[in-house]
Amino acid sequence: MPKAVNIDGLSRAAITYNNVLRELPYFKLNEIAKNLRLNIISVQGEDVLISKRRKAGVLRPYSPGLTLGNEQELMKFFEAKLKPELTYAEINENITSYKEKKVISNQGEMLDNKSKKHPLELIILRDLVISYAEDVAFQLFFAERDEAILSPSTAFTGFNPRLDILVAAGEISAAKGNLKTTGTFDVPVDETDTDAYLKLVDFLSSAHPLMRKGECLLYAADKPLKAALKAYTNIVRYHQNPTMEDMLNKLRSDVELPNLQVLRDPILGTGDRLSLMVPGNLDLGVNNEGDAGFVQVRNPYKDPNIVQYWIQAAYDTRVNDVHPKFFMMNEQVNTGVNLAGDY
Amino acid sequence: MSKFIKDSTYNALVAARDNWNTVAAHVAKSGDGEGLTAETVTPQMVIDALEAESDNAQNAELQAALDRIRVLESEKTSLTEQVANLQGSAGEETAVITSTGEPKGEKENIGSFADKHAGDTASILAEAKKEGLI
Repeated sequence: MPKAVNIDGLSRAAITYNNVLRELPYFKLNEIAKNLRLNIISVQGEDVLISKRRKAGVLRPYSPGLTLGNEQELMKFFEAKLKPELTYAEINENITSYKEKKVISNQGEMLDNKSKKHPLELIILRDLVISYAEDVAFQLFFAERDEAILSPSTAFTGFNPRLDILVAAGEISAAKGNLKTTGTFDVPVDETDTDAYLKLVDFLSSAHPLMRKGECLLYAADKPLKAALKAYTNIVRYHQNPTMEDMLNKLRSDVELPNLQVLRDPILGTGDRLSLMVPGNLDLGVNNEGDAGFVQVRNPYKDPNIVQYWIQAAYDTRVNDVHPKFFMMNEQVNTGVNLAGDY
Repeated sequence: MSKFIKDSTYNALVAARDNWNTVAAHVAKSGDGEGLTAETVTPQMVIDALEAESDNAQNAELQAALDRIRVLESEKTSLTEQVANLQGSAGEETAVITSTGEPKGEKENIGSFADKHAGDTASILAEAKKEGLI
C-alpha cells in the first residue's frame, strides 16, 4: 500500500541527505555557468579583487636645465567586491497533499523495491532545492537586492545592476571607451534596411585593440541578433539566405575579431543590451555553508499537517574589471524573463 | 744372377703375408659356426667387420645421449607441473579474503556517498546524476 509522507520522514531525509541537498543548487547554476562562461566561487564573508591600473605616458625627452618635479600618479586600483548576501526560501505546505504512488511496471519493466532508487521525501526536497536554484539562475543578471520587497528579483544583486552602478559611478563611460552608444536594434523596415547589422559591426569594431587580440565574449539576447540577421539577409539577399552562423562568421571577419564567441541564453532576458568582455570576467559568489542543515523541515504551527521548509544561502555577483581592455557595453537595457520552475 | 726383387721388398711382402694370415686366421676363428676359414676370409669382409664395429660404437654413444635427453625431458615435465601448481591454485588460495562476521553489505546510497565526500561538489553531483536524482 502506498505510504503517506509525514513530517518526521521529511525531517530525517533533510538530515540524511543534507550534504547532497547542499550541492544541488550548483547543478543548476553550473549549467548556466557553462553556457555563459561564469565563475562560481564559494565565498566566506567577502572576497575583494583589486585590479591595478598602471599609468603610462611617463616618457619625456631630456635636455639640460629642464624643469623637473612634476607630480605624477604611478598607478591606481580598481576594487571589485564579492560579498554574498543572505537569501531564503520559506514554504509552508499541507502535508496531506503528498501521496506516494506505487509504480508496478515502468513501460513493461517490473519494478520491485530494489528498483526504487530514491525515497519520496528526497524527491520532494530535491525539487524544492532545484526551484530555489532556478530562481537564483534566472535572476543572475537582473536581481536587485531590496529587503523591503520579498521576491526572487530582490533577493541579491545581479550583474546588470552591478554594471548600472559602475555606469553611475563613471567607471563605465563613453569617455573611458567602455560604453558605446548603439541605439536599439530593430527589425529592418524594408529590403534596403541594413542598420541592425551595421550597428553590430560598429559596436564590435569599437572594442579596445588589446581586447581584440584574444578571445572575446559577446553577451546578447535574441532580439539584437535576430534583427542583425534580418539586416544581414538584406545585404546578401541576391545570392544567399544566411543562417545565424553565416552571419556570425561574416561578422567575425568584418570586425576582425576571429575569436569572438556569441553567448545567448534565456537568462539574459530580452532587450538590446550588448556586453563584450574577455573570458572569466563574471563571478557568482555563493555561501551555502553552515552548521545548520541546508534544508530545514519544521512544524511550527498548530496544525500538525502544515510543514515548513526553510532554505537559506547567500549570493552575489561581480564584474571583475571594466577597463576597456577587458570590457565594453552599450547603453541599452534588458528586461529579465523569469522561466524558473513550471509555474 | 741378380735377384728378382730386393731383399727389403721381399721381407716387406713376407711380413704383409704373415700379417694377413694372422688377421684371416683370427677372423676365421672368431667367425666359428659360420663356415669361415682363413682361406675364405676376404679383405672386404675385414673392412665391413671393422666399419660395423665402428657403427656399433657410435650407436652406443647416441643411445647414451638419447637416454640422457629422455631423463631431462622427464625432469622438465615434472618441474613444469610443479611451477603450474605454484602459480595456479597455491597463489589464488592465499589471495582469498574471508570474514567471520555477519554479511550485512548494504548498498551505499547517495546520502552516505555525499557524507563521505562532503564538500566535493563535482563528485557528489556526478553520483547524483548517476543515481538518477538529477
